Amino acid sequence: MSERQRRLLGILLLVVGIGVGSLQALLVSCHSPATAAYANTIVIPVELR
Amino acid sequence: MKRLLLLLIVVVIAAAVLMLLWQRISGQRPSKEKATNSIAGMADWLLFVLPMPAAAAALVALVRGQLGLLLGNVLGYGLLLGGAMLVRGAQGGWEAALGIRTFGRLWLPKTLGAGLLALGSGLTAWLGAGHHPAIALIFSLVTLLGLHLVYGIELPLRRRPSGIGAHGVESLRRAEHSIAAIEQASADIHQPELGARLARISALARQILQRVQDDPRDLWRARKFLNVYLDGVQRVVEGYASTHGQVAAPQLDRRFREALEIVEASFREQHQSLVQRDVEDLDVQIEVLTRQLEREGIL
Repeated sequence: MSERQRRLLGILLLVVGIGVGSLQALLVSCHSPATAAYANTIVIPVELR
Repeated sequence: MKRLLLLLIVVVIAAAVLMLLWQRISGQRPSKEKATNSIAGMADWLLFVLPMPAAAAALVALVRGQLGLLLGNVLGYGLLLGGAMLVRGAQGGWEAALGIRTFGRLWLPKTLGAGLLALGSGLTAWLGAGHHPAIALIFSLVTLLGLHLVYGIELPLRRRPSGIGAHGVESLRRAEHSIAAIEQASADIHQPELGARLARISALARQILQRVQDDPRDLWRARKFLNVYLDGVQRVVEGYASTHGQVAAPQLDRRFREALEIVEASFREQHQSLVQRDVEDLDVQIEVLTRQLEREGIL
């Protein structure tokens, strides 16, 4: 394996190891239920009352 | 709708990263070395770009009041950023700036940075993405392997000189200190010709030290160089650096120049003799192998 190929493979592994992990962390934090007091407040539209 | 938007953002970021990668790889490749360097430069840049979603995740967790995710992402991003700065700093020559050479160079700051990056990716995967600790460990190992392939991270145990002994280690440390002092003093001598010669002398001294570290048998062969010559050169260069600016003494200048010529020649000779010894050792090994093969009837 040449030096260039070795480094490209290394970059691919870095993308997997760091990039995928942090993207998943972003997805998880966007999809987790909010626990802040304001975010938990349920707003019921007037027409449904 | 929110998920769709998020997915769109992720796809756009990934596409931008891939486009930049492609431009860097295929844009210009005048020489193999330049292409390899551009890949290393790209990796430096990626070390700062790839953890950005973790920072965004920390921000989202803060807004939504998710304490666990916030701590996990902040910790992970902090480690990733710190590690990236250390690895990139090592590429830029922090070791030299900090005066950390030989033994220190083996693990600081590049290896330390790699450790932080691996730990950061594992923590982000565990506490940020909610993976099982075993999966997070695999993320860490993948990161570490990637760093090893790109930067050639080496563990300190692998290259620490073995069989040198405490006295040898002390000799090497003193020699290292002498070389650093010579370099420091040469910066005070504002004469390009002398500066260039002193730089060559320092480089030769470092090569000799490197050989001794790689093969402890060379310690005995280079003992006079380590214990006597380097110390003498250090004293002379420091003395000249402190006096030549105050007193105009052409004869002293001439003698100093001649002394440096002799020192450079003797250092080069010392280095050559170590290389020659390795060649002789290899020659003996080839001879032994050839005879063994002849005895076995293979040759």
